[in-house]
Order: sequence, then C-alpha cells, then structure tokens
Amino acid sequence: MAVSKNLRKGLGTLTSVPLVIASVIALNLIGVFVFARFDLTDAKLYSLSEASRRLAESLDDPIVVKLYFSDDLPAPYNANARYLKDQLAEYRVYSGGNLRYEFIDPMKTDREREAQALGIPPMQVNAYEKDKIELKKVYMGVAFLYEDKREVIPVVQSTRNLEYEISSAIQKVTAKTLPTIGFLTGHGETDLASQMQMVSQALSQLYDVEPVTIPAGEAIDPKVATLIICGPTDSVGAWDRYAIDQFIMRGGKLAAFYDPVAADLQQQTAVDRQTNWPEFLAHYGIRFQPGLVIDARCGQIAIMQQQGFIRYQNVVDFPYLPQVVHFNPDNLIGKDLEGVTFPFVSALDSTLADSMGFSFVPICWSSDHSGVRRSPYYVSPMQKFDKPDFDRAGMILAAAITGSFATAFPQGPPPDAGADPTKIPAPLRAATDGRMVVVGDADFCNDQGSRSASNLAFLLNIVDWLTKEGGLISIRSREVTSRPLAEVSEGTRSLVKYANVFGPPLLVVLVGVWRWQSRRRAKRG
Amino acid sequence: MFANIWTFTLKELKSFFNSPVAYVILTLFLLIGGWFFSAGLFLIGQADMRDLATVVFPLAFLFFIPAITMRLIAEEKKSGTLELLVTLPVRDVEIVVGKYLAALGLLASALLLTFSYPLTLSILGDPDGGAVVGAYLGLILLGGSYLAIGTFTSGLTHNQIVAFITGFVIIFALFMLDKVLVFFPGPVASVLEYLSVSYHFENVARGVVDTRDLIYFLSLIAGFLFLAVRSLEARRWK
Repeated sequence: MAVSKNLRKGLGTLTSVPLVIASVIALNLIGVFVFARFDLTDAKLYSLSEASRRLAESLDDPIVVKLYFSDDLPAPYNANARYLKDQLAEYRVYSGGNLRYEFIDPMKTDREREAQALGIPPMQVNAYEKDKIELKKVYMGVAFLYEDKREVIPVVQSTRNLEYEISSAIQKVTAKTLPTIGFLTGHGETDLASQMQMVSQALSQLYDVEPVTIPAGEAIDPKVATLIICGPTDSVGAWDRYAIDQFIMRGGKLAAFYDPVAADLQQQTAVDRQTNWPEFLAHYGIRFQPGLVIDARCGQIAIMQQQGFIRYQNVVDFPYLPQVVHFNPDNLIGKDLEGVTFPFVSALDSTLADSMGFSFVPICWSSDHSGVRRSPYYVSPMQKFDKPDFDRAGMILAAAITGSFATAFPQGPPPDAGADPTKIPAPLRAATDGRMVVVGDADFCNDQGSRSASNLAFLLNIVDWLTKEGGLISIRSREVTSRPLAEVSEGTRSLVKYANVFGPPLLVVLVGVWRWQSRRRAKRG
Repeated sequence: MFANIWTFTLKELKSFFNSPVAYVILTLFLLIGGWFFSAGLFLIGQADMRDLATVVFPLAFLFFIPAITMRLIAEEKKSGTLELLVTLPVRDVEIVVGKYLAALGLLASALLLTFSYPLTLSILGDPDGGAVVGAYLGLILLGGSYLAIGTFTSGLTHNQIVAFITGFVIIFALFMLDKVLVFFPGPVASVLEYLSVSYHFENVARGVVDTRDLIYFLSLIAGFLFLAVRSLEARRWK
C-alpha cells in the first residue's frame, strides 16, 4: 500500500509544520526574557550603566523620545545623532517596549514651530560644502514626552555625558513627586523670597522649593532632599548644628555657600567674618582658605569718576569678581558652562577632606593669573593691580565632597541644645553616599549674581547633581572617539579608491579566467 | 549524514564556480561595495565602515541573494535531476542543507573579498575592531537568513524567475517591517519590530551581540530550511 504510506507521510508533514513553528516562536519568546548582551566595541560604547538599565526597566508607561535632528548635519554632529540613536536603542532594549523614539527633521517636515515650542532652538553650525565653509541652520535637540509632561535636551553638542543626560531626563519626566529643596533660614542667610527670586523661580520648575527653619528640638523636615545653606552671616546654634548633622546622616545632601570674608562694595570695606560655620563644616572635610581671591580674568563694574568739573561713568576691570572659565570636565556641575562670576570669593582647601578620607573633586579653578588678598582689605575699584599681584594659579573656588561622613555628635545631641532629651529620636551615626557642594562665596546666586545665565545654570547644576538618585551620578562620561583617517596625498587617495573599487572584482575575474582555462585544458587533455 | 551534506555542498559550489553566474554576481557585488566604500571614504574621513555595512550591503543583499539561490532547487526540478536524486540513498534534509551551505559559501567568499575595506581603514587609521567584527557577523546572519528564504522559494517552483521574485518579496517584507511601524499601535508595533530583520541586524552590526538577535536569526534560518525540506517532501506524496 504505497499510496497510504505516502499519505501518512504527507499528513505527518502537515502536522509537524505548525509544531515546529510553534516551538520556534516559543524559543524566541523565552529568549526575549532570558538574554545576554556582549558589547564588542573598543570603548564599550553601548553598554549602559547599571543605573540607566534599572531606570529603563522601571518604566511602566510609554515614554516617547522625539529627536529633532536635521538630516544633513555636518561632521562631527552627524556622529552625535547616530550615537544618540544607538544609546536610545539600548534603553529601548531594557525598557520592555516602553521607550520609543523617532527622528524628526523639523525643517524638512515643517515642524520647526513644534520644536521651538518644546524649547529646542535652531543652531548655527559650520558646514563644509563644495570646499566652502558655510553657516548652516540645524536642529539637534531631544524631547522626552511622558503623560502630559516633557523634558528637553535643547542641544546635543557632544556625546560625553549623553547617557547621564538621557537618564536624568527620563528620571525627571517620569518622577511622580518633585523632590524638595530647602533653603536654611535663621542665621542671616540670603533671603529666598526677596534676594533669590531668580533662583527660586528657576528651581520651582523641577523642585519644590521651601525655606527651612529649625525649631529647637525638631529635626529638619524629612521630605527635604537637599539643603542649601546660602550666605549665613550669624553663627549657628548647638541644636541647629545637630539637626543639620542628622540631616546629613539620614542621607540628605548639602550645599554650603559661605563667604568667609564679609565684603561691602558700597562701603569699600571687607572684614574676615567671625562665625562658627567654618568650625562646624570642618567636620565634613570643608575648609576655606583665608583671604579673598583676585583674578586678572574678572568681571567689570561701572564707577563714577571725576576729572576737573566733569563727572563721567567708566567701566573698569574689578579683580575681586573672578570670572571662572576653567571647569572640571569630568564633573557634571561645571559641564558646558562658560564664565561664572564669583564676587568676593575665597578659595577652598582640599587637604582636610583628603586627610579625612573623603573624595574632594574641584569643580572650578581660578585662572592662571590670580592671587590672594589678606586682611586688612582694601576693595576700592580705583586701586591698581600689577602683574606681581597675580602670582597664583588654579585656586579651587568650588568643590564636590563625597564619601561616608561620620556624625559630628557621636555623644548624641549636645547638652546645651536646649531640647527635651526624651523626645529626640536615636542619633544616626554615619551616612554612606554623602554628597556636598561647597563654594567659597554666596553672592553668585543672589538676584544680582544670577542675572548672568551661567551663574544661574551653575546653581541649577549643583542642585541637580546633589538631588539626583545616587546611581545616576556614577554614570561615567564617555566620548565617542573620532577615528580620523591619516592625511594622505591626492595621489594616494586615488590609488586607495581605485584599488578598492577594482581590486576585489579583478581578483574574481582572474580566478574565473584561470578556472575557465584549466577546465578547457582538462577537456582537451 | 554530514558526509552526504558535504558532498552536496561541494558539488553545488563546483557548479557555482564552473558557471559564469557566480563570477558575474561576485563582480557586480564587489564593484558596488567598492564604489560606495571609496566614494565616502575621504569625504567623511573616518576609519569606519558602518554606513557601508548597515545601508549599502543590506540593500544589495535584497537583490543579490535571491539571485544566488533562485536556481538552487528550481533548476534541478526543471531539468528533472531532482527525481534522480530521490532514487539515491539521501534524505531531503541533506539536499537542502548541502545546497544552502554552498550558497552560504558563495556569500562568505563575497564578504571575504571585501576585507580589503577594513584593511584599508586600518592602514589609514584606527578602526574599532569590535565594530568591524560585529558588522561582518551581522552581515553573515542577515545574508544567511535571506539565503534560507531563497532556498525555500527555490524549492517551491521549477521556474527560476518565480523563485527569485517570491524570494525577493518575502525578504523585502521582512526588511520593510520596521520602517512602517508608525502606522501601527504600540503592542502590534513591538511585535512587528521584533519580526523585522533590520532591527536585529542593526543591533549586531554596531557591535553589540545579543542572544535575542542570534536566536532570531537562527530561528529564521532553521525555520525556512525546515519549510524547504517539507516542501521538497511534498512531491513524494503524489
């Protein structure tokens, strides 16, 4: 019965096809959940850090990333676009389909207005076209859209900290509650409502901003994530010291902007400030250097001058307003900043933090032509400075201190704190992942200082960096390395081109001819 | 079994290289590759062949691979030699895999001849070795999948042109899947994206080897070869 045998075979085939297809699908489905990835590239370019991976995995609602990038970006920006796409592809892999991205060329698709409404400005870049340098209008911005919120990277200039920027944008846009930023009050600090309106306004977009008072016997509000001590002029009391210490111990982040020298430009005087803040802050590795920093690279002020009977206004350099351009590229706070002015700033000393085992990372330095003025000070704009006045270089004006801080009150609250000892919660003794930013100046972020966009951006960066979820800070910066070809002569170029276009095909043709010949010979033979 | 497969592979490779077809295909492929490689080389000035590997070659594969596979089984069907093979003590799976491996050999030799590009890059600059390895791995997986599809369609018919066109259509559909995602709602789009070859290929080709992409490509290859074997067996039912 040959027919029935074949029929059986046929039926077997028909049933086995769906079976095999089903098992292939099953295998792929299992593979989606159990997988491993290997990054073959030299710099492990595409491997996301643990923090970003966890962030992507934690997404439970769709987030849409719109990349407003012009198609015809000139080098090196075109490489940025590609790397950005690659990075987002990695996020997508771990997001379980919740992250989706699309490229939009605003100019070609007539969506320039949409891009600009999102806060992505057109940029001018140099493009080489037909051997000429031309200015070209391009877009290179990214918008993250989540529910009805949005977060924007207006311009992607470099790939150096791109992963960090993407992750913070995702974190910000998906955050359910805004973190609270507290400004300490009660010790003559710069007043948030009247003297720091610009800062308070800018911060409110991303944070809840609140003044913080410390009633005797009470802790700092637990929802405060970052505490900013801005320009205290009075000493700090025993209980307040203890409360701030416990705030740090519970993982709160601290920014200390302190003027060790009280300067008054109107009166043209300056005196060393006498408070116990430096003594208190020293517990966490913070130490200020005495004196005021002067810098040949500085801001200007307008002064009235009188010559004979004529009074006229004159704008002069004022070295007591160091203008900082030298930022640490490996720290995210000073990233992409240019020209932050610190009026009447004192330098920082890293030795104390180093000796206590903390990590002390400078954020910015004074220029190569800077110097220090000690008490008694003379801060008139009329005074003349000469080259020998600027005998120092690279003094640290702002720094980030990280590490495991130990409490300054190992014995518990100080007895003179005046608090009811029965009501005080058990003291915390140590903080892991402690983070602080110190600046030897508090004027840079008041309303006068933050008129400069760079100063405002500097403060926002400080707050961002402090308040970020710990993991994101660890995202390393990396640059897509450019891999330029060697400069070769026109002749060599042509040779290389022709060799690659015609070399391999020629090889094929030669092999063909040789085989044809030998087959013909074999036939004859 | 392996001896039989190997016999078919050798026989098929021999017939490839004894006919002018292989030489024409290889020459054309290399001319196109070489031209695109050289044209952008000094313009971009980077020791990088990613555009070539992820844009030019996949496009070229769309046409070249069905051309390689179209005659594999269809020709034997037309000339009647397939019936002859049936009388031999070999199994259909050996015929299919043997012929598939021969086509893969042709693809590999085409890619081998493009090694002059990374060689040029490493003389003139310092390319990322991992990215180059990833690009070639991706191309072999992509080409290998297309070849399996082509082998399948070649077994469906005795007409080479029909085999070419059906092969091209299936490959083109898989290739285009992730380019039309915007028209689909989220969950459907995710499934379609997973099914599209380009999505998996681009992952591998930039130097990231993911087990999911490997499983995808190997499933595609094994699946279509399995279908090819089954369709070949169908003629015995008559």
